[in-house]
Amino acid sequence: MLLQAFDNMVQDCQQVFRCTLAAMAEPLLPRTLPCLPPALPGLKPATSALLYTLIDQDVTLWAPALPPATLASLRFHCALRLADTPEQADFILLPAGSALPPLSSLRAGSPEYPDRSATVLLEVEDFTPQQVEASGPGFASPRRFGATGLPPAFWTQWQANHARFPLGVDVLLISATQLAGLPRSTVVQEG
Amino acid sequence: MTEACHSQWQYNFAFLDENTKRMLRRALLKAVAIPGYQVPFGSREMPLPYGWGTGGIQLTASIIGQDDVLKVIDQGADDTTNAVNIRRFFARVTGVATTSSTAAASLIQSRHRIPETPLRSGQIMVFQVPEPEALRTLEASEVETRKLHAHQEYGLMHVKLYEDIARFGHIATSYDYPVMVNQRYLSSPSPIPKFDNPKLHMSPALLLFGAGREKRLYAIPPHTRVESLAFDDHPFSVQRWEQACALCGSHDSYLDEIITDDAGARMFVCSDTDYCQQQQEGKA
Ligand SMILES: [Zn+2]
Repeated sequence: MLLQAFDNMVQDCQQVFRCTLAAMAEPLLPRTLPCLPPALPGLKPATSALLYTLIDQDVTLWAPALPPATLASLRFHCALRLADTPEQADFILLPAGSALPPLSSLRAGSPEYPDRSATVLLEVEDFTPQQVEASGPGFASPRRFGATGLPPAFWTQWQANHARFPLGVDVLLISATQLAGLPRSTVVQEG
Repeated sequence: MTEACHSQWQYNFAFLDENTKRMLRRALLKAVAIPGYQVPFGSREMPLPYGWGTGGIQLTASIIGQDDVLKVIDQGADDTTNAVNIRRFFARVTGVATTSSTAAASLIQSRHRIPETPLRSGQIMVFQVPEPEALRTLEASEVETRKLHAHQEYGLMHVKLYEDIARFGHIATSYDYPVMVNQRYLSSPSPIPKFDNPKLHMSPALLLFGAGREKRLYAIPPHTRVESLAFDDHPFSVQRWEQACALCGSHDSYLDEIITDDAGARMFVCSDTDYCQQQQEGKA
């Protein structure tokens, strides 16, 4: 069974992209997505919106086992190509509660082409302001941030990821209806 | 937008097909994540020849939406042929509102200037870039410039600027003056006058750069450190004029010298026509 995507793919994808661009430009500032498609089984509505916006036949995606209806819909709407391992993938999709592959094992780009790196779509339960203080490009001043439902030791792994800059992966943290960007440039201090 | 409404376009919204937009959008997200680094992209043919801002047009086309208000400037002016053509093109292929007001615009495509009116949070500037590689005049090989960026080996550029000082007593580069973005990547600010360089530093707006011929894009996120190269004994400085603008009297804006009659009479006026008009109206 195929699930419906956005009502108007062209306009809705543009709206979701602009929200994503703003989220990456001003990291760890949760933003509510301007439009949401019907949720794909096993995924949050905001995650479905991002997949329709970013994925096509030119990139590969790795995810833990997804419901057949979700895979079929993504194949139909996005020409989804699955990667065999997270290490090979352009996008890594981690539904809530999934184990986090070591960030250091994912594509980090090369010194000459650091853009050839993975983007992690990481579902969380909700955003709270209580875990870390963050700074870097996109921060007028340091910002407090937190998210419930993050994989254990995520922030420790993040610090190692940032330390490799300009290599590294970028993360989009996704709740049911919101999105927070976490580009590799972001410096995070715990506590 | 309804299907009926959509069919009024002879082409896709914003001209580009959705695959091209997605490719550019993914590249833009990486560009924002690595400030000042040049991301290569696959280019599609555009209905304008190179030199007319195809890189900027492709970026604008990949980000513009129905709610945007678009301003297009060329050397600070909204009414030059290049600016008018690009603005008409987007009005035709998107139906978005256009403006000459910097304050009213959500999206500003520019060739060679940053408006005098301070940019604000939420605005996006798209720069048309003829040569994205700040090191190109010093090193012709792309393989080599990639290595220099990888190793943050920017001594060549310092040598070049210092040779200027030895020859002219000052750094002669007055536009496309190289900057360090986020203390990591040496970048071309596009051929803006160095007068505009300080506006790049900690700008509240998102700054995007597109080079069509070279198929490269790069970004300076909001609130990012941008430093113009300088030396302790030759600090960076911007152009200054003894005159005020002959039309609005501003002492703070970038001035163009224009010839006003056949006898060669000259005057200095603001390069930013919107700003100049605002200043004149403010005094009226
Ligand atoms: Zn003036």
